[in-house]
Amino acid sequence: MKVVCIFPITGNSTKYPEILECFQKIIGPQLSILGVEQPEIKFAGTDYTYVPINSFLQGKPKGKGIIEVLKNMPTPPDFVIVCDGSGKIPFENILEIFKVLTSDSSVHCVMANRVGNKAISDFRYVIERFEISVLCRYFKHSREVTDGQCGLWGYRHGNIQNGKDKRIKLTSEGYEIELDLLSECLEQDLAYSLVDVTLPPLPASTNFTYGDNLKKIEFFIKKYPRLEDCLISYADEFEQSTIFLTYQRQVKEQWEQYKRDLIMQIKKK
Amino acid sequence: MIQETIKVELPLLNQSRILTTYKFIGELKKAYPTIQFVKYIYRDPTDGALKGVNPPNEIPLVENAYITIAGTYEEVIKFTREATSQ
Repeated sequence: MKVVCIFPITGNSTKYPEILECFQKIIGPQLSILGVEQPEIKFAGTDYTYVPINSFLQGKPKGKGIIEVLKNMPTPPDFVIVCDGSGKIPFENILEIFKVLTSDSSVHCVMANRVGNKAISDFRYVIERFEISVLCRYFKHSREVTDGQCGLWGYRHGNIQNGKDKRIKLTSEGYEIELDLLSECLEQDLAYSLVDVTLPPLPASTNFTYGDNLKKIEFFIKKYPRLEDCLISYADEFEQSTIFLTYQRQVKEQWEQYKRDLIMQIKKK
Repeated sequence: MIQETIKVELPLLNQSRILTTYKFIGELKKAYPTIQFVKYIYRDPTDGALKGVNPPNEIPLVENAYITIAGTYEEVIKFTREATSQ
């Protein structure tokens, strides 16, 4: 069983040995018991180099780094697990993802479900919920997806057994890679699972910008062009949801700005 | 007892101690004889192209290159500390 663990990380030199020590003490021995021989670890920073393309060395976004890491593997892995290298998500949770992923062959993807602290602002949280509601609505998915944008996730790589051309194929180059994974599952009706994780009580800090919210939606309009026609009606519906009503007071102005920008983005096309 | 091993691909960060101490892959192989140097992806200073190789000894060490190594946890962590420290 071949497993690759990818850590998107840029600079932050103390984290590299910290991650490996966590593998040595906790993750590695457990993976070994579960049948993994020589786990492979890859650090995909913004300077990640992918050989066949003469691209710039600097400034590679998260999704692109992850995808190029996979392209650089001569032998494709059976399982891919990704965990943000920042350390906000305790690394040992990788084991929980792997255990669920291998416990049932019908499960193709496992995502972390942040319980309590989400490590993001209230506004970003509302937008995350909106983005997930858009995908669920678009694919007429009735099950509630409680998370799906945490930086810890895993999936079965390659063609899915008895799945007739079904496979998870990630194409996102930016921060929307987690949503890309979720959309692959919903579109192809692949079984997924969520695993609860508790993040330490750190203040919300991220390189994610307001513009990245819009890039996420832009990606999905490109991937699913018909989404453009229903996006605003989905936003209107979302405004009646419990989550929106709970946070309405805190995020009112930002949400209105976001909705205006969505409309502008659609009109520009 | 079977020694557990791991394979790691990591960058040679700017100002890495590795870059100031060693100039070529061959020197690294001598300094870490028990580590297997699997792959090296780097921008060749002679023609500016990105290349990926099963590294022969004469390949130069350059910053922002990615190196894949395999070995026991102790050896790999020791190497990683040096590769990522300044």
